[in-house]
Parts: sequence; C-alpha cells; structure tokens
Amino acid sequence: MSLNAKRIIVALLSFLFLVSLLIVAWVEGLKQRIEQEPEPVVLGVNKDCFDCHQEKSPAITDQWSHSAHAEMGVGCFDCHQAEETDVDAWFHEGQRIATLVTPKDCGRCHPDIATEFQDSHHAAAGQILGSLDNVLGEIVEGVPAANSGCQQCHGSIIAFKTDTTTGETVRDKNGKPIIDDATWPNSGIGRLNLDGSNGSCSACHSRHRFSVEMARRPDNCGKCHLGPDHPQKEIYEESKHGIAFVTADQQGFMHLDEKDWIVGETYSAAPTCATCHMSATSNQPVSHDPGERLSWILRPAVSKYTENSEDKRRAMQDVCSNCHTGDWVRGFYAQYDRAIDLYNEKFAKPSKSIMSALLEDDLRSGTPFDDEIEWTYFFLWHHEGRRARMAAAMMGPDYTQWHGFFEIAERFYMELIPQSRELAEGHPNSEKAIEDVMAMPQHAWISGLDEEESRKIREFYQKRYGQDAGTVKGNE
Amino acid sequence: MATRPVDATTHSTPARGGGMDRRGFLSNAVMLLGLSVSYLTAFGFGLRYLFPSKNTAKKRIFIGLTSEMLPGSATAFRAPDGHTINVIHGPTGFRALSNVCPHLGCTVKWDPVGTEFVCPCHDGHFDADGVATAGPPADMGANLPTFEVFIEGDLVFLDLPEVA
Amino acid sequence: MNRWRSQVAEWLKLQFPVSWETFSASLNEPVPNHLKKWWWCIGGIPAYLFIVLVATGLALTFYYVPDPERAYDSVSRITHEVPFGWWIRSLHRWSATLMIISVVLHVFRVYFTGSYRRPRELTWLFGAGTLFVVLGFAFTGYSLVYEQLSYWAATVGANMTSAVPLVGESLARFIRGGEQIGADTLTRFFVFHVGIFPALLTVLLVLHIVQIRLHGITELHFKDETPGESQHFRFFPDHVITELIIGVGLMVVLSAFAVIFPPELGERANPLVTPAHIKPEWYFYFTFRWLKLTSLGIALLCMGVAGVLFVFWPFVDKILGKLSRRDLSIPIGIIAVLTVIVLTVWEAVAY
Repeated sequence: MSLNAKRIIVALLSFLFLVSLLIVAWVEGLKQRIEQEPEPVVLGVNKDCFDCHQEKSPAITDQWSHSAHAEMGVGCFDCHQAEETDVDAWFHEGQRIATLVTPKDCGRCHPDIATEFQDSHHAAAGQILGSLDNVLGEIVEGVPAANSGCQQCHGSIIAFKTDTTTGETVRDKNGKPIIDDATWPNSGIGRLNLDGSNGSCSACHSRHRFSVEMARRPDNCGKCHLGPDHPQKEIYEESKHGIAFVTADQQGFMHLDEKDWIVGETYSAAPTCATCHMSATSNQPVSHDPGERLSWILRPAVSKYTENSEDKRRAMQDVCSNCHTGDWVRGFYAQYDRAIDLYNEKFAKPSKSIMSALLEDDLRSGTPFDDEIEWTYFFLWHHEGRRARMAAAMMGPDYTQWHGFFEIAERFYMELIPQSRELAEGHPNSEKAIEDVMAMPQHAWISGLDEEESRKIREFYQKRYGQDAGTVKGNE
Repeated sequence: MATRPVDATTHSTPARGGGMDRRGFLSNAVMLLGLSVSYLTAFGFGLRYLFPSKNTAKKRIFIGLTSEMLPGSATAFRAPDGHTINVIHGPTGFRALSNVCPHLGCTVKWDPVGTEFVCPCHDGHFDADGVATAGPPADMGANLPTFEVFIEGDLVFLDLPEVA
Repeated sequence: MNRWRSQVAEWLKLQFPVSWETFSASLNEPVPNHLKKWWWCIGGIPAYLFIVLVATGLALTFYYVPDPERAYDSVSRITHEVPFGWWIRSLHRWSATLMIISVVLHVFRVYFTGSYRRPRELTWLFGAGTLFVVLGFAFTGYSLVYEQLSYWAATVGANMTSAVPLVGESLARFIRGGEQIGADTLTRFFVFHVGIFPALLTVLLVLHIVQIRLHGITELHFKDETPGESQHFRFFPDHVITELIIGVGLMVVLSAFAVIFPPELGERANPLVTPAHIKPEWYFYFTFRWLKLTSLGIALLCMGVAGVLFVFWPFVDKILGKLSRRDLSIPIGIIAVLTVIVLTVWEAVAY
C-alpha cells in the first residue's frame, strides 16, 4: 500500500472518529440527569434540633428531610419557636419552643392560607361541642367515645393538666406544661388551641412531611368524610370521578406533587376531592376554605342554599366546565336541585313538622335521643337523608337510591309515620300534623290509588320537576 | 523461523521519491487536518469533563421574616456550603452580602455602631451595601460579593448557588 | 525559517549533549517487511491503548473517591452527572478490555513464531511480566467500582491468596490491609491501580521496547517475497502511519463501543450479602472454572506452576528441546491455548 493511500486511510478513519465523537456528544446531550432529591437544608439552631432528634426520633427528622420545608431550609425551630407570651412555651435545650404547632404558627409564613382556613367551616368544626352531635357523643355514648371518636375529626379544646389541689398547670422537670391527655393528642381540623387559633393544619398536611400530594389525595379527606352519616369518600369512589382517578393515578396522569396543580393545565384525567372543592383552575386560585364552591348546605335536617349560593355555584361550575360542556353542567345542577327539593319537600319538612307537633303536645321530651322516634328521625335526616343528598351532589347513583332515598322512604313510611301515629293517638294537634302530611299528593299513593289518582300524582311530579325543573331557587 | 536481524546501519533505505511531491503534500495535509480535528475534539470533550460545569442552578432558602429583621440590623446566616452570609436590613432595603473580604479572603465583621463591615486583616471597610469604602478593597475597587434577596410577602429568601 | 529552525536545533543539541545521530538512528529503526502485513502489528496496540488508559485513567481520578462510603457514589456521579463522564469511563473500560485481548494475542503471536528464543529470552520475560501486570490492573480496576459483583470479585480474589503455601496468610493480609476486607482494602487496590501498576507497566514497556530496538524485530520470511527487494522499510513515516491507522481505527472502535455498550453500574456493594451468582470478568473465567473443578490448594498449585512455566518459557523450551531433541513448543502451546479456551467457554456457558 502506498504511503499516500495510507495517509488517506488515516484521514478517513479520523473522519469516522470525528463522527463517532459527534454521536458521543449527541448522546451526552440526551443524557438524562438523574433527578436527585435535594439535600435537606439544616441551618442555625435547626442543626442542633436535627442532630439530636435524628437519634431520638429518627422518623420525624427523616420525614422532614423529604419535605418541601427541608428543601428550603425551614426547620424545626422555625415552626416550633414560641413567643414569651405563649402560654404553652417552655425552654428546651436553651430555646423557647411550643410542642403544638397551630395555624397561627403556620400563618407566620402562610398568612393568606391561614386566614382562608380560619374563615372556613373546617376551622369551626370544633364548635359542635355543645351541639346535638356532642350530646350524642359525650352523654348518650360517653366521654371516651367522644375523645377518641368525635373529637379526632372535629377537634378538641386543648387544655393543660391542672393540679387538683392548687389548680395550677402541671409541669414536668424541664418546665414543660403538660397538656391534658383528654384533649391531646388531637389533630382534629377544628381543634381549639391554647393560642386562641382554631384548627390544625396537620389534619390534612400531615407532619412532618407536609406532602402536598398526600393532601390532594381522596384518602386524606377520607379520615373523616366517610361512614354511614356522610359517606363522601365512598360516594366519590362510586362515582365516575373516583373511578377515573384510580386508573389515572396508576398511570401517572395526576401529577399530584406539582407545586401549582391546576385542573385542565397540570392534569385533566380525573378530579379528586380537592380538585372540585379547593384546588386552582385557570380562573380561580386554590382556596383553603372548601365551602367556597358549595351552593347547598346538605348537613342539616332540611337543606338550604348557602349564602351567595349563586356565586358559589358559579365557582363550582367553573371547575366543572374544564371537563364538561355548559349544557351538561346545567343539566347536572337541575337534577341535583330536584333531588334536594324532593328530599326537602317530601320527607324532611313533613318529618320536621310532625316532630315539632309531637314536641308541642309533649308526646316526646325535650331531651334528645330518649324517645324511639327521635332515633328514627335522626336516622332519617342525619344518615339516610345526607347519604341521598350528598350522593346526588357527587353523582353516586347507588348511594342516591339504595343507600339513600330507598332507606329514607322505608324509614319514613314504615317507622316514622307508624311511630308518630301511635304517639299522636288522641292528640288532635299532632294527629292533624300527620294527616296533613299524608294528605300531600306525593304521599297519597299509600292509601291505595286508582288509575285516575296515579295519573294525578305523576302529573304533580311532572309539574314540579318536569318542564320547570332546574329553576328551583332561593331559600324557602 | 527466527533469525538474527541484520546490523541496523546496513539497511536504512533512502526516502522514496525524494521529499514531498504534490500528492504527498496533499495527502499529508488531509491526514494531519483529520487527525488534529478529531483528536482536538476528543481533547475538548476531556476538558469539558475536567472543568466543572458552572452552576447556574439557584436554590431558594428561607432566611426569616421581615418583621423579625429590624432596620439597621445584620443577621448572620450560615449557608449550606459553610460560609457566612450577612443579611442586612439597611437604608436601601434587604441586602445579602458574603462575609469573605474580596481582598485576600479573610472574614469581615459587622460593626453595628458604624453600620459598616470591617475586615480585620488589612483594615478594609465596606458600607451596608457591601461597597468598599476604605483600605485595600477600596483601592482595588472590590466590593463584598452579594447574593440575591427574594422577598415574598413577609418572608425573606436567599437565592444561593446550589451546592453539588 | 530554515535558519531559525537550525538555530533551535543547535540550541537543543547544546542542552542535551548526546549523539543525536545515533539517537535518531535508533528511533528510526528499519522495520522488517513482514510488518507490512496487518496481523503482525498487534504489538503496537497495547502501547497505544496504554496511552489512552493513562489519559482516561487520570481523568477518572479527578472525580473518583477511593473510600468505601463514597466510591460507588463517585462512580455514579462520573457515569450520570459529570459532562462526558460516561464516555471517559467507557473509553477506560473498553481500552482495558482491548488491552487484555491484544496483549494475549501478542503473546500467542510471539509464542507460535518462536520469537522469544535466544537472544530475546529477557524480552519475553518482560512481556510476560506485562501480561501479569495488565491482569492485575484489570482485577484492581474492576474492584474500584464498588458495585456488588466487583466487590465480591475482589473479596474472593483477595481471599484466594491466603491458600498460597507458606506466605499465603501474610500475602492475603497484605492485600486486604487487615484480617478482613475493609476500608484499607479499597485504598490498597486504588494505590496498586493508579500508582504501582502504572509505574511497573511503564518500566516493563520501556524495557520491552528498548529490547526490541536493540535486537530489532524478529524477521519473518514468507514465500511471496520478491527476491532482491529490500527486506526492510522505514519506521518513519511508513510504519508510523500504519500504527496511526491502527490507533485511529481503535479510537473509532472504542468510541463506538462507548456509545453502544456503555459500562453500567450495578447494585451498590453490600458487604453483608453475597449475590446469588458471582462471576469475575470474562478474562478470569478460566481460573474461576478451574477453581470450581479442584480444591483451592491444588488449583493454586496448578496455576502457580503454569504461571512459572509461562514466565520462564524460553528456558523451559530450551531444556525441553535438549531433552527431547524436538520442538515441542507448538503442541504444548496448542494444548495450553485449548485448555484456557475450553475453561473460559465452559464458565461463560455455565450459569
């Protein structure tokens, strides 16, 4: 081979080498940087806390290490520090701290969220203490049941343990005030704290990771919003929304850990509880008051529209319209309003009027839950009644029908009416109240119907819910 | 099979063609060009490997609340890489300054009375904005390195270069 | 221009007062004609790969941390984060693999052409030493990655030495840096890999090349030679360009391998759990299989004897020749090569 040919071969090979290097550069450009979880930033006083607690309570420090707080350097002391004036402050390793972190503490850095939350029904959940529900928990059932049951969702009234003789707060050898164990541990969402604030952020944003993903998952709401009296979680799981979520989540479409989580932008495969009740859309920001989009109050015996219900409904419809057309949304609300109206007019108001008449006639006592009919009525509105209404609101067909209206009807016709008739015998006021109810066209079927009468009842429903359906508005 | 090689001097062959003809020159040039371009590229990759990538990624770190940093005060803050950053609530707002003197790397101290930074090594002085006012740093025109302060509502953050 | 050049040359000659004519003549050693055939140029490949290995190896030490706690992470960083780190690591890894292959092929060539014979016995000795150092490089280098397989390969390898008669225990203690594999073991492997072996290999290669220069390359003659034509050609530029073709060709092969088969990073070494299937790298398959066939003592004894015979082969060959009055080197060589191939393939096929 001639020298020239060899040189050309070297040149050609050099060219090939260069091409291979360009491929190397291309591969380098494609190289996916492994996204590593950022190191926790532990600074200043927090380092002292962290180093010791890593030994004593490693799970807490580890949870925190994986939190957004850790990434930004918001450490133990930033949340647990206390003012001199805080009643629950104590000195721990030279720093004035408080054990309980309340919405007031969180509000130092998250003031807007804290305000929204304080104005919400969630923050007022502790104010059932003294209500009918509380009589049931604390008296009919018993205080330990209320402590471990009711208050774990609704929140307790935090109090110090006091010395029975001196009346002073009991402190341990470090000067730490001891909290009465009847009131804490408690992370109820309406907890009444010693610093005057209401609620607990960690009810949803579980410590010490404060995972936004966890807060957006339906399971998070499911700590409290489930069961026979308000099975929102089960209704959601039954609904198309909940079904879609399971698959969307498995397939990684939910992006629940994104900082800004906007339906229609960040995700669109399915809604969670948070999507409809709290989270941002492209038109409205996230709100920590989940009542801001609710047009009906479904909790009490008789449902009412909320204050400014039109605005609130528009806010919810803004969420709906990310996935549904205007006709769809209007049609849904028409069905929903009719279901609530049916419950109110056919069962709730009649039952309520009968219960009032029985009370006027002294046929039942003012003490709740001591008469059978009071249990019957409680089941009717507090259990089946809410199930039917909430299921209609969240599109759970089985909970609307079999767990809902079917059981309401059975409770009404087979228990409440027979029980009240028995009590009312010989009491004209109560008897009239019952017979007025039963004379209503929607209850006429029970006395046996001929062709003509059946037609009249169908016409009544047609007239009430037919063409004009969806225009039911305003408080009665 | 194996034989002793002949004495080296006896078989040095004369260069063929005697020097470079035109084709020889061309092929040589093409070869050298190819070699230099490819090997220099590989060498360049090697340099890219050795020179740490300039870290442009910033990490936002929470410092404290504006309400807790009184005007005129300096809050010493230990950055994750260990060196101290002073956050000053000065007349021009919040400033974050390195405590490393740009002259020869000693650490400066905040003098709350004179509201200035003083470097003990060669008596360098800096005002609350980190501008060198006296001593060797002023002669060099070298100010204290600054970091970006980010304020969101009542919260003060620092944007620090990410530590690898 | 020319005047300036000659002035620089004059100045340099003053700085280095040696016989420049002799020096350049010994550099420009004429090359026998058979080296025009590609097969006979394999010997240059290890020299070229050695340069690539030193360059990439140096680059790797910029980021590698020889500490059991951090070794794996640093390799991971090189592989995944540092710009072109995967490429450098890949070049190093593939150069090492090709180095072993080319050294072994070179040994075959030298053996079967009988080029080790008088007066080149010492050249063979240096070459054999080179082969052992290269294997030492491979063993220590692989261990540095500190992934499960490499960790356990190192453990088994280091512990094997304890079966060597008399000095075994001390030798093992020396390699491990203690009674057990521990933090010092990795440091030792690192020192061998980046300090002792490179120095040894440099010395051996220089001695090897000096010997080649002094003796000249063994001339081989073939039937297709034209009588009367010069039996040699120039080292520069003719042979140098041949080597350049090989060198650049190697770079293409290495770069392609780097992209197509980048070195992976297995599971992090866990000193508490030996993985279910451990295997050394392929070039140790034959020893690994041999170990499985016999007891440790016998296996080591056999390998020791084979190793000594290999290193001192030129002398053994001579004694054998005198005793048998025949050239037994070819059949013995074929048996040895077949044994190694069979053991290697056996191990490769067996899971």
